[in-house]
Amino acid sequence: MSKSETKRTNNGRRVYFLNIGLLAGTVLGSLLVYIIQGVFPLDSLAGGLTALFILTVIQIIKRRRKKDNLPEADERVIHNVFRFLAYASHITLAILFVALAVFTLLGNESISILYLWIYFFVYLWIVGIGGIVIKRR
Amino acid sequence: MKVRNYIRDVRLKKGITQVKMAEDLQVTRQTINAIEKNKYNPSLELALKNHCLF
Repeated sequence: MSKSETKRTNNGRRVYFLNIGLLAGTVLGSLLVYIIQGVFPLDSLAGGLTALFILTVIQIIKRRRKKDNLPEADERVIHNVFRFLAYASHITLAILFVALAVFTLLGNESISILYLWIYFFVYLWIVGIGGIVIKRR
Repeated sequence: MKVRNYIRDVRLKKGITQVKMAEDLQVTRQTINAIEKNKYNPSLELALKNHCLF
């Protein structure tokens, strides 16, 4: 097997390892909730399995539709994604710092945990979608 | 300092497409385009692979 063929096979296997990791994370999370709260979260497990199924189908369709032997990401793409993540993370921290300062100056002694969750999920959305956009450039 | 190259001229002279060159070097076609337009400087490894290709 040539070096490029080995690389392509490894990339294909990596996707399935990601899916296995997702399954393991879902099961582990469900077990943790069961241990802590005493109720097994079947809905979370069902959601995780559905996501796993959809992702696997998408990966299979992508691999079947791919006609060329070009890689998904190369050194330039990886460099661009790393640079984007570095900028995004630092800007996120800066915004959090400024927001915290503003909250403190306004006299608030506590912040609702909901706002923190919203901020965290907005960051994940921006990084996720931004990463996809950067990868295609 | 911009590093200029003549990869595009050499590629066209040899009649190789960007896709073919990208497949041989195992990079994306956009990377080949960026290198040819002097918008991206390849790593040493990629530059040596490119040299071996031609």
